Amino acid sequence: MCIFYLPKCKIKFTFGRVNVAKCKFVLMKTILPYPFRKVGIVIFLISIIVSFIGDIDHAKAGFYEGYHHLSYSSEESMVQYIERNGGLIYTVQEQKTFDWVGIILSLSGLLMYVFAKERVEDEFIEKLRMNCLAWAVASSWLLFFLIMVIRGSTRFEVLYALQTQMLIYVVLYVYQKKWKYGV
Amino acid sequence: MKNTLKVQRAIKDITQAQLAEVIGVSRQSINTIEKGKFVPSTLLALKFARYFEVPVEKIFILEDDD
Repeated sequence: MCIFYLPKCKIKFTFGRVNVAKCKFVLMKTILPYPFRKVGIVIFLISIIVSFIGDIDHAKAGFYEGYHHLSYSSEESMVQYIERNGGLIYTVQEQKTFDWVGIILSLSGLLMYVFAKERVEDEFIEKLRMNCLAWAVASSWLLFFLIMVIRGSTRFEVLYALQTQMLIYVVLYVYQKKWKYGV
Repeated sequence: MKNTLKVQRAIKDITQAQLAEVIGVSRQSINTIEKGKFVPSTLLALKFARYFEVPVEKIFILEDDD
């Protein structure tokens, strides 16, 4: 028999039979001190800057693509056209690194914000968290479903899905706390 | 459910912030309870009653449709 303890959760495993009696789950339990909230915001802002820097080439390519179509130039390909106009800044590997760093920083920042304590933690904040979590899960899945229908593809990146879900949660939480119920 | 929290607070002549500090919750919680947007737990209701030295029923009143 193995008894597994967590701070507010006691689950008793007995020969494959799970006894969840007296199990008190506290979803969205805050585990980080209040200052981590601000650290999370700073890290998230850094991730936005990194993503912007990494996306320069995407923006540049998009601009050239539009310009190339407008000029009706069929003699040279898109790649040749971009090369003639100075080419792209980053290599594919550098681009991937920027994307990776951006998403990791973004997720870390959002996670810190989500799991950091408020100045005063009470049952209203707990209810607000649960409410926002439920809305974030529902709306993000609806969003993914719509994107899949529009794009006609069932493929999506897990990290970006997590990022979207957390971002919706944070936006909802901040909106409800500061404006809807704020004074 | 309606409540007389604002009235009780006026009788004691304290602000939302002061009441929040005494009870150990945020000012937003007091504000949302007063406006009827959030129904507090039994524990919190009892804390209010103890602080205002009145029965819980005098602060939180059930309405016909509850």
